[in-house]
Amino acid sequence: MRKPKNFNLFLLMLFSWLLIGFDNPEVFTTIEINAISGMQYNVVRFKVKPGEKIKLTLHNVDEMTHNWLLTAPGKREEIVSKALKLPDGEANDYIPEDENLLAAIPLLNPDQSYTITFTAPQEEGVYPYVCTYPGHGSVMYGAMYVTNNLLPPLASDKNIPEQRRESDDQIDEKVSGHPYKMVLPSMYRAFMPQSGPASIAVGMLGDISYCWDAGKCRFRYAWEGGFLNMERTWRGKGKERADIVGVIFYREEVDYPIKIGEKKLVPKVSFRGYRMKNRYPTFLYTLNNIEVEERILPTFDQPGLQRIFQLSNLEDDIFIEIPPKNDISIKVNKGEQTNNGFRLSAKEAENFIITIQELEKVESL
Amino acid sequence: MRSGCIFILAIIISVSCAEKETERLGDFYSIENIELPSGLMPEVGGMDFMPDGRLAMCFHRGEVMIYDPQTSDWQLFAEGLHDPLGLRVLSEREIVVMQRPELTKLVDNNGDEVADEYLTISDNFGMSGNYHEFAFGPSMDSQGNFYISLNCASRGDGIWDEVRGEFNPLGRPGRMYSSVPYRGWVLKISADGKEVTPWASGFRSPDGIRFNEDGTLYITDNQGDWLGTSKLFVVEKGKHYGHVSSLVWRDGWNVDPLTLSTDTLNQLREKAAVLFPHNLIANSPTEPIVIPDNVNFGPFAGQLLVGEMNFPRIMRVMLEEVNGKTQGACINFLDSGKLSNGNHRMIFGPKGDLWVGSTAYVWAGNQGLQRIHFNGGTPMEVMQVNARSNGFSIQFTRPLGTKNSNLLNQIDVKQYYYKYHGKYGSPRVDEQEVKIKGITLSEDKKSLDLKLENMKPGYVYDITLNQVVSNIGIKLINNRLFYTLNNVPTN
Repeated sequence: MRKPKNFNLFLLMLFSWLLIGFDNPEVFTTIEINAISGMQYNVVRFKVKPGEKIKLTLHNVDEMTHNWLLTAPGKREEIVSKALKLPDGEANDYIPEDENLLAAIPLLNPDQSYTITFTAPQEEGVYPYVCTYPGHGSVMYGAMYVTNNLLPPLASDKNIPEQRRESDDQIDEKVSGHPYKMVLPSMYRAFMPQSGPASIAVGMLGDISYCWDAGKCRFRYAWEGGFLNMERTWRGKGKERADIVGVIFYREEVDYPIKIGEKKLVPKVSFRGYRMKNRYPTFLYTLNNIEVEERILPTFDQPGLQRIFQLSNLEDDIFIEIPPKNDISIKVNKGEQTNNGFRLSAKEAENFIITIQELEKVESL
Repeated sequence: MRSGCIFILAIIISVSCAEKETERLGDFYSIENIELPSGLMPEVGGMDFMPDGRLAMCFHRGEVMIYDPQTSDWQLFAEGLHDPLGLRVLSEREIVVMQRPELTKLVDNNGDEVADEYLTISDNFGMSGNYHEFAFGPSMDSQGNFYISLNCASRGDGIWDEVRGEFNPLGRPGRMYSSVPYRGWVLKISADGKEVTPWASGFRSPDGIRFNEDGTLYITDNQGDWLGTSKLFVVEKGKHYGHVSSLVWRDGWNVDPLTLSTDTLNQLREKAAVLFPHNLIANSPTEPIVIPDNVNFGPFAGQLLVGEMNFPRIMRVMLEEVNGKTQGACINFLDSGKLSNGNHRMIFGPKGDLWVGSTAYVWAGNQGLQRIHFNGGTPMEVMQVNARSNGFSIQFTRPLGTKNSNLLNQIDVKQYYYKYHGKYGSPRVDEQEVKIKGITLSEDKKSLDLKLENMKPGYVYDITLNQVVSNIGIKLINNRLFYTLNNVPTN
């Protein structure tokens, strides 16, 4: 008996839906991938955590037809040749039946988009994705890293097409959407998800990115595994928010993290702009009359970041109140720990560093 | 060599003798497309010249780039801005950009021609997250103050849970709305950003804002709710220009403007200096610019040019003062085949060329950069229009031909008005032919006086000059003008 078209795909999706449930869209990590000219995906790799729930959309912005198949580690070439041998390939979207096929998006014509949801495997590893349209499979592919660790340097990553193994995480102008190569660190002012309308996104080396709210003068969240996909926000009138590439690992959910004096007053903030050095911004703002410089840099021992503060015109002690998080280490290099944060004297608060990192996973035997 | 010179001379003579009856303005103005760097999405938000003659531009995807007309090189000055829609050069090292969230000064401190400081001059206005809250400008007065204009939000989208600035529910209803501070306003911002003055209200989508050297602030606004057709305003401090939602940010205002009668609202507003009849000349006017006296750009120095998004056109505006108020007429300036549509930003270069940047934003429009060069000569055009108590006086760039003995049959005049109401746009209302009672040609044959059977204030006079030719038989190039008769002069 011939199975209906995309039966496997249907099963996969049904399975994912059953696993995830319909009612809570918040739990998905969103991945947006464009099929672009030159037989390539704009996102050649991304990182997820084991068991993470993924909502992945493929936008075909190329002039050719493309699909997207996720395979088990090391099975890309096998799936590609199996797809080619399908007797009625096009009708089956070049999606073969195979236990090593983990997820798939059918053939999309130019300007079509398609979204699937699935759960990342529990097993860490490099899971290839590929376009199996005849002739595309040998060049049009990428890698989903399922890992809690940092990714290898792009330039030496054997799991992505050779022409995309550029040093310093460079993306050339054909892909960047700009008249220059995209180099990390990089930043965009953009409408960002889960932040105020005046926001800033910064992508740093090590694929750690963060969102900083210029309206509220505060840090909002950090993610790892990539930077932004601006395609949807650029395509329209600027209505859509930018898409995060990667996984949010830290959110600062608090009315305001720095409070002034014993009364712990929430300060009145004013955004003064930023200064660029080595392509990283230093944010300039005021809290009441206190002038603040906040520079944010990635940490490399563990995925995370450092926020280096300089405050002037201080008279009172300050209280840094950041709620603790599971799996996250929050450290301040000055002052004393209190039951809900840190207390720094006016003197100590002239220079201090907040370090926010993912906790190292202890392997269980 | 000598024979070559004679040959060229002969060509020149033969060309000038063969001057045809039909000329186009494109014969007098040549248009050149400027090559853009690979990878750039050239949707132009703003442009201004630097003191050294290079052109600074900002683009939809957040780049500020500098173009050198000498070398045709492009260079990146700044990146990552949020929808910048206006730019002014302060010096070779300082460029001010109006981006969605802030008015920002970009500073190159170390002279490497890349901005290393992005300093907020002001973010003292609200953002609801609605995509239609574009921010335009800045234009600058002679004291260095900035003027910015803030688009209202659109019913095509809601507002975010988190907004910047105070939320005012009175400003939330309506097609286009102002639920956070100063949407639909022009703000004056001091050079250091410390003083922000709400300057004037009543705007819907004020994309074009320009302070002229004489101190006049011109703003264009787009057909929609409370705008029966697109308009050009001469904006004065403290006044209101008709789109109602912005009224909620007046001191002491405590009512949803949409609950007031149209009559009441009509009393509050100042009228536009010029209406651009929808579909007849413009659907979406953009940046106005006065042709400076000191550039060689044809016979229209001192008049305004206004860009247009939907048609491949630049318009010309002829203004006059009547009973103490500015009003006047619009006419097509240039719509030769080579001109792009989406004409969004315009600036005169050091050599007197007009540089035009295009955008679309998914609406009708285009992308790119064009340079318009005046080739010399005198196009046969309407030079100026003045209202009289009993008609109009129309001046031409050249004397009219003697064939105009029967001018009466060659001029059509219509009148109509546009409704002021909350609906989107307005039809032409009470559209009627106006009878011409008499025509007088001046002694120098460069001026016609039309006597009309009526002059109704509040109406647009739509005047078509058919078969009007110059003394050497050349047809009028643009023969239809639209005069907005707010006031009828007494003489």
